Amino acid sequence: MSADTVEILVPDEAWGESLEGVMLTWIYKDGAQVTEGKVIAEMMVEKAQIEVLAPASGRLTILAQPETVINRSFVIGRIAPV
Amino acid sequence: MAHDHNEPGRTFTMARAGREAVISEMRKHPNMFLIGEDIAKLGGVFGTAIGMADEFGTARVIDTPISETGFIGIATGAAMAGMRPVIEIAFVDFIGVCFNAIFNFAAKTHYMSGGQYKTPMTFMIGYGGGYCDAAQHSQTLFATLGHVPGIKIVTPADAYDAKGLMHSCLQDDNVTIWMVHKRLWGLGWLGFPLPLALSEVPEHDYTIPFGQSRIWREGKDVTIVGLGLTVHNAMTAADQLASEGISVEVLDLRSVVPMDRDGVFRSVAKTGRLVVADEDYMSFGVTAEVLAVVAERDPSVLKAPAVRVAYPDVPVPFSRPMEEFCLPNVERIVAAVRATLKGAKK
Repeated sequence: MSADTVEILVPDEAWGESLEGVMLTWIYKDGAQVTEGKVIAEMMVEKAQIEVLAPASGRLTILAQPETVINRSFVIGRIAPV
Repeated sequence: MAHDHNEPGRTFTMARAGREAVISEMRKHPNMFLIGEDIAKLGGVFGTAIGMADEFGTARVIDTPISETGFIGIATGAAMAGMRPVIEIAFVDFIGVCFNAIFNFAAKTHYMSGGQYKTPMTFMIGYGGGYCDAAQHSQTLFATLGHVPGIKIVTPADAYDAKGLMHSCLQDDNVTIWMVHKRLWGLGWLGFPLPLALSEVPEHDYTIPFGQSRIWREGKDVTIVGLGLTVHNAMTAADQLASEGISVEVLDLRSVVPMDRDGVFRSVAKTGRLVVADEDYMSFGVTAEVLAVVAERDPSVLKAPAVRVAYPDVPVPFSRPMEEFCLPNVERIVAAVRATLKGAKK
């Protein structure tokens, strides 16, 4: 992993009091080039749908698969510079 | 609209796809507005309006009290006065209190005014059961709405069709109803998104014509006609039957009104057998209308009696096993296909 690679985390404010969430869908495929600030994934905490924005521009690596449980500190993906 | 060719393919849920179409049309039409319950603050019970109040403000994304009679009356009057309302109703079950505005005003004003008034309004409505929400939150009601002339009704089965059909609805100058089965929205609390309902959705605007069915799978032994969620059940049934050497064609109506009668007849004339799968009540509904197409045009194309897989004429039970028993699920569709293969013309 290069030093410029950015980890994708679900922002703290999305979690509320919850410790767990569920990955729903990825809008872009593994390896796709994504743009900073665009919605790249959807996840769910309690009954609320959370949009995950790309924290940087670059090539997407998906780590958390749809329908899996994730927690606060889980890195759901990475974005590497191109 | 400019299309960014560097943009990688986007896989959308149906909620996101429909929303993208509404946002795009609202940017083009300053007289278009969205009205309904829990849309501005919450973004829609089923995620149909997430982020829209931020972009368009609460004058164009209007949260209403729980008063469908009131806000559908408002929307109908606004449409007659030259605006383009989009009405969000999370559950089709609640449409009963709005029938006068819809049936007698929205659907008939264009005709009764000799074309002087149009009613360009689009309903976005959730329907269907399968998640234990009981008799007043699980109905489908295609036939109830489709029976009255003057209303177009579509029900996409994947995200690509959801966006294209929504553009067609929003560009139409009279009443259109865009309906999505709740289990297809792609919302986590209603079950995980069905992989087949997620599809690649282009960034540019596009339309899908009303009354044009879509063949999801070609086959030669039997046609299954479905719409919405039953298309997915039919596809699973077709996979199972293929392993026994039975070749199934799956036809998605996409539009309830107008119905693609030519498309239905073409497929049945080819395969000679027909199963129709619909989650609306059995009697006086879509399944009967599809059978009527074949009966009226040429019943001799049928090698065996057609079979309907619809909701029994009973209220939707709350109990999970009782509801499962009633739904037009894969098991019932497979059994129906087997019945058509056994049945032979006398």
